[in-house]
Amino acid sequence: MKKNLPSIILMIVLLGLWQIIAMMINAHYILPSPIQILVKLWMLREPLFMVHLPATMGVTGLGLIISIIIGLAFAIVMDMNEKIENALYPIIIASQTIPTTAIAPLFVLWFGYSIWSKVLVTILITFFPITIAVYDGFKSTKREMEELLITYGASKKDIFIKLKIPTALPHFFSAIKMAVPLSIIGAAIAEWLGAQSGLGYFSKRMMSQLDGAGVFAPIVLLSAVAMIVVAIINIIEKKVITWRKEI
Amino acid sequence: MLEFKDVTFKYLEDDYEMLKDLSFSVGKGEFISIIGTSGCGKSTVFRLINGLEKMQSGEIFVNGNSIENMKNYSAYMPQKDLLFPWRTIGDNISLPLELQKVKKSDRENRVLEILKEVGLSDYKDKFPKDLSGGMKQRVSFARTLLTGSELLLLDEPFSALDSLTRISMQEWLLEEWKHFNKTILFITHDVEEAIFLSKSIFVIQDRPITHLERIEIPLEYPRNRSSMQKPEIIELKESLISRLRQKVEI
Repeated sequence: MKKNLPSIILMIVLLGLWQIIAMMINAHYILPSPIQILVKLWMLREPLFMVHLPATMGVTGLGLIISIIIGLAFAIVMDMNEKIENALYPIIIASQTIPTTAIAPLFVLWFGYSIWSKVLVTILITFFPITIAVYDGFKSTKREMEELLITYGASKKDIFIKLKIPTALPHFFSAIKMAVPLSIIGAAIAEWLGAQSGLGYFSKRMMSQLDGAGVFAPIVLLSAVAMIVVAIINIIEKKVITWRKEI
Repeated sequence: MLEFKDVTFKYLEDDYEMLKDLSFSVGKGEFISIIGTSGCGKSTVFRLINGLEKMQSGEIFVNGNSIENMKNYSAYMPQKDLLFPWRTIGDNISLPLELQKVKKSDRENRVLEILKEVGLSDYKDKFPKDLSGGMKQRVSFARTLLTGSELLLLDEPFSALDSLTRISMQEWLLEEWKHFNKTILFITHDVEEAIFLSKSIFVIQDRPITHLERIEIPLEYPRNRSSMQKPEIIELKESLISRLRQKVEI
């Protein structure tokens, strides 16, 4: 609690400032105040929590799981084989130069309003930090440790399991902490561009009604979910990785 | 026990040879130190023995067999302890046994035995961060012993320790050597350390290394610190230091 005090104080100050500015502007369709957003969140609690949040979490969860699988697979094959690394790396980088807002409508065209068009956008945004962070984790293995294992008669598989995976684990957790907010953003963008449910879709609908607080309410919800998930990952990370500073 | 026969070696990125037609031998159960200036190729000799580098020509024999297709014939202990921070002390020590696919129950028994031997029985479930520098080196030595190899290659294992711990570790190492009856090749920069520990010293003075000059230490085991004050030992130490200093470039 004591550790989080500065961020809590800063957040209260920023929210207070926001409240004051919103009250001064006094145009809720341009800048709703935090209190107006909270009121809207309460008023719309049923559709937000019962319909749209589960829809977005479904896309986020599925996208994140597939991204982790793809990200780890890319990192592993690139670490195993230099030729594959040379072939894949530029393509992976190029995939991140594609503007998501430009490609997402294409996915809707290909997959319709099904969950997969949105999951694809999420994957496109999310797999990259996982691949790069885990790959860097594998590469950060200390050469002396690898050589020591070789002198013990270790095979490539032994080195991977006993040395590379533990070395890359802190990088994996960092990647997941980056990937969670990104996957939520990806899902929201995809829903914004073409969906029939979800918090991104809901936010867009409120936009068309010039309901500023209604636009912000799902965004606040998304941020809260991201913070909670990242906090849970932090707790797991602290339990699993006690050696981060020793590497 | 160990024999180099006309070994020539050059690193790919270098345009000069590190070793040229080098031949020498080490007998079973000997404790031999290799001394020389930084970059003279001491560690290269170890890298060749444990198969991390491939020689251009010549052969290396351990117990009369070429190391070409051999496994687990030597055990390497590096300067840094290289303990895996995510493993407990017990799990770190059992690493060579895991790689040799030794059964878990056997592994546990042998780890307990060796921990008792190195005086760290209470630390089996601790992590490396909980240990002092000297303790970590003892764990590292225990791990080296559990490879089961007769030939131990110790590459400046005490160089990162403070001087008092270092002295204790040297005395401890001699006891362990006597107890386990292993053949030890020991790299060090420290002439006094080499004299105190070794039966013989190999001096590297040339580059490429064409021969290792063998100097016998006129001391019996067991040794103690007072024997280092003998006039012939002081004279030997001074002579070795002055020879090595001629090769030092500042």
